[in-house]
Amino acid sequence: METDQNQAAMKPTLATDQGEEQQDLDYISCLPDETLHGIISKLEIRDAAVTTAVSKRWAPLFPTLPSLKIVVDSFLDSSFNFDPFDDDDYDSYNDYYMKNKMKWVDSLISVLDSRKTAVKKFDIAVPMRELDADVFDPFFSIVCCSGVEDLSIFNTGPHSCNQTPSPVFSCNTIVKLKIRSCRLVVPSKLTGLRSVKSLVLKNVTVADDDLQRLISWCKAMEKLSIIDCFMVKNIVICAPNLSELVISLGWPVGVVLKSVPRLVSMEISFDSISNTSMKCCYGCLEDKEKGSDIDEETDDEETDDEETDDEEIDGGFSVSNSEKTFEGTNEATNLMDILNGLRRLKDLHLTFSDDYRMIFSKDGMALPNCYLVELKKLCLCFPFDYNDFNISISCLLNSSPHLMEIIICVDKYSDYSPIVLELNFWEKKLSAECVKHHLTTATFYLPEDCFGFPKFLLRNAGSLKNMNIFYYGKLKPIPNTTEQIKKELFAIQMASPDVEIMVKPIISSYKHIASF
Amino acid sequence: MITLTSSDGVQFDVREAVAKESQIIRDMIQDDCVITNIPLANVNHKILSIVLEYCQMHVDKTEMEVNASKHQTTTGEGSSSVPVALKVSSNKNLNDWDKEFINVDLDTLYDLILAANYLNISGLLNLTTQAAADIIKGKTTEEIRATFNIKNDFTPEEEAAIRKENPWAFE
Repeated sequence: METDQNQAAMKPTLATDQGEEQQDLDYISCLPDETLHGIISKLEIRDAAVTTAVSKRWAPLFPTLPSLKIVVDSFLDSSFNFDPFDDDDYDSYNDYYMKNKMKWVDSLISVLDSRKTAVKKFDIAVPMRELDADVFDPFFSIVCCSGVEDLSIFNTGPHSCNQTPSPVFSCNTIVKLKIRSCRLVVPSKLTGLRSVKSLVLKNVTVADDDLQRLISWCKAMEKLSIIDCFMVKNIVICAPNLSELVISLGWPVGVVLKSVPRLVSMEISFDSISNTSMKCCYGCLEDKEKGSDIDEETDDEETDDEETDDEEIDGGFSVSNSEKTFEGTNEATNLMDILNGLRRLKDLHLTFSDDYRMIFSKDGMALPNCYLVELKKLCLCFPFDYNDFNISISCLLNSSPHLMEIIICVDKYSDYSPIVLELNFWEKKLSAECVKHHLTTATFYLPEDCFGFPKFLLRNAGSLKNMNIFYYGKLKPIPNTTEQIKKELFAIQMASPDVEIMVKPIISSYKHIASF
Repeated sequence: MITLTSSDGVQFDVREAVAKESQIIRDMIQDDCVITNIPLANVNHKILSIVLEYCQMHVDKTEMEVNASKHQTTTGEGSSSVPVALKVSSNKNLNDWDKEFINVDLDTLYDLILAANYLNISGLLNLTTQAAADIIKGKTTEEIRATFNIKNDFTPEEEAAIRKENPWAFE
């Protein structure tokens, strides 16, 4: 055993040119432990355990593996094939199930008992419908008592109506928690989750109250991602240590940042395209009910925002696609309100698809400058539209004196007037100061005839180093367009002496994909 | 442009962005801005050219795909700032390309793992170790030994004892 480990510690050299006699050598066993651990940790626990019997070199790897992946048949006899839709199978399945359900727990105990080093990470992907809470609760109790720091729970069953196993809520060792496709019902009295620094909720069904309670409880939380969750209507965030926030949903919801003094990076995306694809995957009656709920409650959502408008609130905004709300709220002001509290923000991404566009009224222009003193990177994906796009850009640019990188994606042709978006339009709207000293990188995804803004940057951004332009045509790409665009851009009197300009067409059937 | 020299003396001129896919090269450039020639003592020209092909492709794609790296290295998921349709199509292309790229013989795979490890290219390390894991997946111990030419150095008693430690895995 010892000699084997020494051999592994020695760094093998790369030598492939030494002839064919080496073909039969066992290269893989010469890899360092760390690398072999990397390979084995990508296997589910059964495959990983099998490697112990390969050779003496491999035997100690599994017992020292820091992460375990568990799937539904990890601990079950692989020869048993159960068809849940076959009634004849049902009795035999019940027998099998009763006999085997404790096996899950027993096997896990034996694995954990034979560990040489503690397991830091559990990746558990099981259809929770098939095995009941009386299996999962003891099973997750063991997992949660093992000192696990990184826990990922993925319900692979077809419905997200199964509750997140309760032992999770009393575990205090978890630092990274990821819950996917479960229903999340947060107990009224929480005792665990005090160490959680990163929380990811994906395809989770969760009520607003539960979500708010969970977020407020996890005081150590630094990173929060809420991705394609169901039932969410209004997200209220009170998190003293939060630095990174991602909210990505298929429909607009209210977002209220109650207290986020340390927020550095924020990404908010309401994109109907991802919603469509999500519904294809998870489409069921539940979704339809939820969809109608949202429409009905749009008005309530706004009153909620107003009601919670007390001193604690740094900002809040809601976005809606229903026309009646256009008059009632001023989205530009709402957005600026929310950003006003975020003085440490360095990185901001906003994505709104055509269906859920943000409405910026002209009042938005009268905002005081220098809201986002720390902002370094700004990414905007909006429909190109005279009424919101340019005002949002000018608001944000005029508010961000230290911006270094800007990314603008216009993902679809909307009705717009290219004439007003020419260079002189931007020179009127924007103060050259805001981009003069710090902006170094600008990236654009634009229609082929919308280069007013890039030209503005070339003329005014004195520190610009890189400008990347990916353009797409209205119809078919015109030959030599790249050359034409370059010629146009180089004709500008540039503020920065050493700017590198890259112009590339977006190939692929992008328009075709976008229109589905 | 940066010149990388392989262990057998072949020189490769690459863009800085491409070389910077490697964490150790990134660190070197950060420490010493004027460095232009980096000798790589542990990678021969055959493997280095494959590694650079990978880096080149991923840099090109990343330029198309704003910020994807951020999400790929952290969670591997999440939304990106690129229009969804564009992201989907370019991610799909890149995954297909990766799949094709990693379709190599075992010796090359082994060398690529070592090179990715040495140069600290997280994406390539992830791709190559996943490829190795996929080869092991679902195989019995005998099949694993046969695939990788691993010699069984257990006595029958030792092997029986090892199997007994995790009996559920060998059913």
